[in-house]
Amino acid sequence: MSDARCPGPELVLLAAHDLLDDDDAARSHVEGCAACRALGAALERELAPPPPACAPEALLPGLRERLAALDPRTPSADPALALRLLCTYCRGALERPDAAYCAGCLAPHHADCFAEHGRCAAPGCHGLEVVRTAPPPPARPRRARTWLLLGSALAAAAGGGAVAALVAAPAPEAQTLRVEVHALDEVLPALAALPAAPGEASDAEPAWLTEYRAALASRRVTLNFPGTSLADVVAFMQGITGRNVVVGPGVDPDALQVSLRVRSMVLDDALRLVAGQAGLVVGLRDEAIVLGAPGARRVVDPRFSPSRPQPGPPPREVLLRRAAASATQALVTALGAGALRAPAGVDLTDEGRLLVTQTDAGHRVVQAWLKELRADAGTPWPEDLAGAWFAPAPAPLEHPPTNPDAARALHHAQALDERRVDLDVAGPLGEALEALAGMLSPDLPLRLDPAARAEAAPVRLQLRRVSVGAALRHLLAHGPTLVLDVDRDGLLVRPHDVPSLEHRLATARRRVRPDEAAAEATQRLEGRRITLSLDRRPLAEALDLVRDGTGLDVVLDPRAPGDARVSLRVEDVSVAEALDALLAPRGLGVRLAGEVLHVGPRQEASLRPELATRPPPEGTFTAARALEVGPLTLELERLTGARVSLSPGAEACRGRVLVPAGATVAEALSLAEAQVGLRGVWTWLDGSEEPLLLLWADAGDGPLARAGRRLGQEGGWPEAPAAARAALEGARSRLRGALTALARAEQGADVAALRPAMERARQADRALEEVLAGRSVLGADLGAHRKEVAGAVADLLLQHWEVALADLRRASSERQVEESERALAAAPTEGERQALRARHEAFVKERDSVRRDAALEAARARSQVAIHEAGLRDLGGIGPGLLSALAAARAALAAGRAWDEVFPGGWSAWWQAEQARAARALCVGAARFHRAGFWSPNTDEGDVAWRGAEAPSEPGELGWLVVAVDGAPVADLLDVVEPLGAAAQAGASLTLTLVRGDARREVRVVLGD
Amino acid sequence: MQVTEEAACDGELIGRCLADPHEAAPFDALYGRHAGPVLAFARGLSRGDEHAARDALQETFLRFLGALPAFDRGRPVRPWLLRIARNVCLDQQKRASHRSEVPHGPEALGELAVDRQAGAPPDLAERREAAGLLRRAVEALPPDELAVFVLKHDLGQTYEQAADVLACSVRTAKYRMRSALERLGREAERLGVRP
Repeated sequence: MSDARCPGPELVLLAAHDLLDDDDAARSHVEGCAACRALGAALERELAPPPPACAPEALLPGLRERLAALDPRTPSADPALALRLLCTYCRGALERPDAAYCAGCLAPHHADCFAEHGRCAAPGCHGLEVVRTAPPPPARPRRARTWLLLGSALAAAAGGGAVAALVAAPAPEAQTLRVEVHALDEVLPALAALPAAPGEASDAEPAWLTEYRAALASRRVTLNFPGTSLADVVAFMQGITGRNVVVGPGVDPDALQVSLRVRSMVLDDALRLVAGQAGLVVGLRDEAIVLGAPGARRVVDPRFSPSRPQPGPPPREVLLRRAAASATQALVTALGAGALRAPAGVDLTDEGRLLVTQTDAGHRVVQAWLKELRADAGTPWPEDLAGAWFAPAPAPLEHPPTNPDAARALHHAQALDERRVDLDVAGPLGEALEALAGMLSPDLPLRLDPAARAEAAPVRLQLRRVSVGAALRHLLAHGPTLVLDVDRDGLLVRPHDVPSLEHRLATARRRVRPDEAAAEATQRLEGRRITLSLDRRPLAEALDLVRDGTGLDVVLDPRAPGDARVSLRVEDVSVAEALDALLAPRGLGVRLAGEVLHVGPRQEASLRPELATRPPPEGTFTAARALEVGPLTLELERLTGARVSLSPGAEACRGRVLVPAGATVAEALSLAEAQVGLRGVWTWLDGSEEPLLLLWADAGDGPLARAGRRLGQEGGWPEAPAAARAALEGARSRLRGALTALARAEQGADVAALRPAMERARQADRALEEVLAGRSVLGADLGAHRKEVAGAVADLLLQHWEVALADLRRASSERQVEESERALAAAPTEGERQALRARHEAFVKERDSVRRDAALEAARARSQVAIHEAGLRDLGGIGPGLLSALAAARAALAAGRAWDEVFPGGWSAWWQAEQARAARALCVGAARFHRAGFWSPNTDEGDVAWRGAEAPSEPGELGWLVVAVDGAPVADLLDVVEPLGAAAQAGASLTLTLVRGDARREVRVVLGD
Repeated sequence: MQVTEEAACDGELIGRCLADPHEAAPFDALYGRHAGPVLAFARGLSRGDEHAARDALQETFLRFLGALPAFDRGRPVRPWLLRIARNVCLDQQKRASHRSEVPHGPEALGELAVDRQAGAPPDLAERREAAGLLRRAVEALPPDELAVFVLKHDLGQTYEQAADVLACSVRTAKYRMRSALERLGREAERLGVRP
């Protein structure tokens, strides 16, 4: 039975789930009281979940069906290029005729996606209406379409500076149309002078802004802050004014002190005095007065500041809309309304580029108009571009969406501005966001990406009665990498570089059928043909054009120089080939993962791995040459039989490339890069076996290229060390600048943008160090060259050996005949003489045969010796003598000696003299090598053996191996041959170190001739 | 040696799923191991809606398959599956919210209490009915509290495990459980639950 001390079901339940403290009296009571235990059991019975209606195994077949029914994307059947946009909502490919453009910002959407989302999905745009094509009339199926302007955007016309173009192959049935994409940023100032486009957002102030501005101007306050912290000042101001006052990101209000005593001062002035003492500025943003750092425009908006009542110029997106409208008007004026019939038209991509689909006549109109704008683009901005712009309040929908998901998304978007919350947070940003998420009602859920939860930037905010949207914007100002998505499931805060949940989910689902998704993406790359014309455009922009053309997202590896300038002209090639031609000169490649193209270092990413490993054609320069770019191109074509293509930068490259005799094509290209900044990359187009050599020069001018050109053009080789040192110092200075900027960037600048610059500076530093040490200047992989020469020497020695063998066989045969004659003369009986005579005749017959054969073999071997000796001279072999000469020259340069002191008479003369000396030594050495009884049992490994007086005792044994000559270790044949040849006079001696098994000895060899 | 589905650990089974997406055996083995608790969890979060729970189970395993390549195989699978199931159920409830309002929260409990207080103390038969009512009170808990309650009470998870599934701290999980139990205790008192 229960008694009065029994605590009741609530505490019984808490005790049963271990939620009472150990020293809680109720806990000890419940554990000892039979009535409470019985009550606990009763509660447990009544809280028990109902038995399951079915076992999970029964649901497995249905799951398998759903899995099988997941819809893999079917590949496009149209092999011709159809330039696709990306849907702003789902990021999927978007065919032009299917596109619905937001009337507010012209961001393209699938019509379904726009309906589902309920509004424009572009960040910051609340557009609720779309511009789209009307369905085609039956008589003229495609081209009779007309643009139906549902919204208020595309009505008038103007455009901006053409800089890069992606030219698409014409659609099969359509009139010949080209698609060009124009970047407009260069002419934004000129666009600002154009009249506003119809429907352009008004800059009517929100009500809160009017109210805050009035309060700042009229409200008077009396303040007495004797060295008060800014945190307390802000709290006090908020209390007495009834308005929200916050500090911006990066400002620690506890570390700043304010000393101020004023009576009945206007609030605006008082706040500016407070801010001035703390080194801050005052602004208004998102239903709050913000005290922020002076440079933090993102937070403190000067336009809303009481000190700057005049509005700034319209922001970029508004200007871009004006451009689209203005370009359209220009086309209509020149060519009539027919110029806008689908698929022709003028659009804006979601990156803000002008997309012009026109006949040649239409393009001429746009080009002329762009030219006019460029002429005006030098006009300075009327005011700082940082002026803010506020989007108009969303108009009520005339026809609310019927799709329930879209209706929910719309509901969330409206609730974002309508719901009001009080927010009082102090701590890490992630926790502040979680706190806000906890305040929201279930019908406006706020989801946080794990990275958003982990944001540790300190936040201190106290906001009263602000909209959820304003509260979120204040919080996100402290996490510049975070963005807010509004979708059918509510609100989502995620890092800007993390795809939205829907996108990730769609990608994950496609991963279930990776083969189909990969096939579709591959088809986009291989099946479409494009023409690209780029002239010194940033690589990232060029990749954007490819993305526009393929609908595939492009991810640029941080090591890839996104802002490097590229120039390329290719016509009617597949997208994959265009990418290869675009990226290969930079040592970059592209790898397709799902529907994302990863651009990175070529050895790590290649669409065609077989190409990355395919060996390039080879060839050898037989004589030393000094070639300008044009003749070098012809020579490379002659040597390799390959086509050579020059980029515009390579065509403009001047200076001579010095190529030594015997240099391979690869070595010549390496020298060309070191000397004049000309880079060569092999590729294979059209999947054919025909190789293509792309010659490319960094017209953007890395310090290495500049130094190389200077070396080749202006002062010649004698200036090399000084020029290299100067360039090195420049690169180091830039590196220091980049590091300093990086250190500052931790305060909020774009760190990622600095990394490519830093990497380039580091690369230049390393490359110039090499130049200074002589490695790049002297060029080439000497090791490979040396092995080639060693092979030629081995061939030569083999032929010497063949001559010797032939002589040996002939001598042996002669000896047999002589012995036979002596035996015949000494025979005592006629019977023995007859027997010996038959044998003697056989020996004579064999001797005659051997004489003929040996003469032939010796003649052939001697001719081979002559051939190999001549070849060896041509090769200009690089043996240990030449290597040591090069090493000595490098060391002298590195030690600071002048170039002309190290190479008196110039590099070329020095190099040729050293080569000739080495070739002579090799030839002499080869002859001595044979005569001295050396042989090379295994030329590949470079082993050298000495026969001497002791021949190998067993088949397969090498005999005495030579491991050192005069104490210098022997790595290969040349290490023995060249010292033999270098000892010029007869009577000179060498000390050989020999090993045979475990035995080791030293032998002194005296040269006999 | 061939690893059987029974002997293989979850990481091995996931590896086989990734190696050959068309091979059914490893997926079936994973399903067999974890579908029961996932279904029970989904049933609890679906507030008794059996059809929704079954849908949630299937959707959970679909999402699970889709996200396999990103899964850290060194981590346990079940908390991950339960977290997916929770997200799926929340999505379902949001989708359903515009069609029919499911009462939950203290207001819903209040309605039930008023109904009961209007009458006489329940007799035995009514007490049996009260058992159903108390379980209905569970279904009327706010979503966060319901999730902790189902994990701790119905599935027997520890607070640490529940916190891992719900991506919150252990302290928060305990706080939500305490809140849920206090509501249920008050409701049991109003319903006159006796030993």
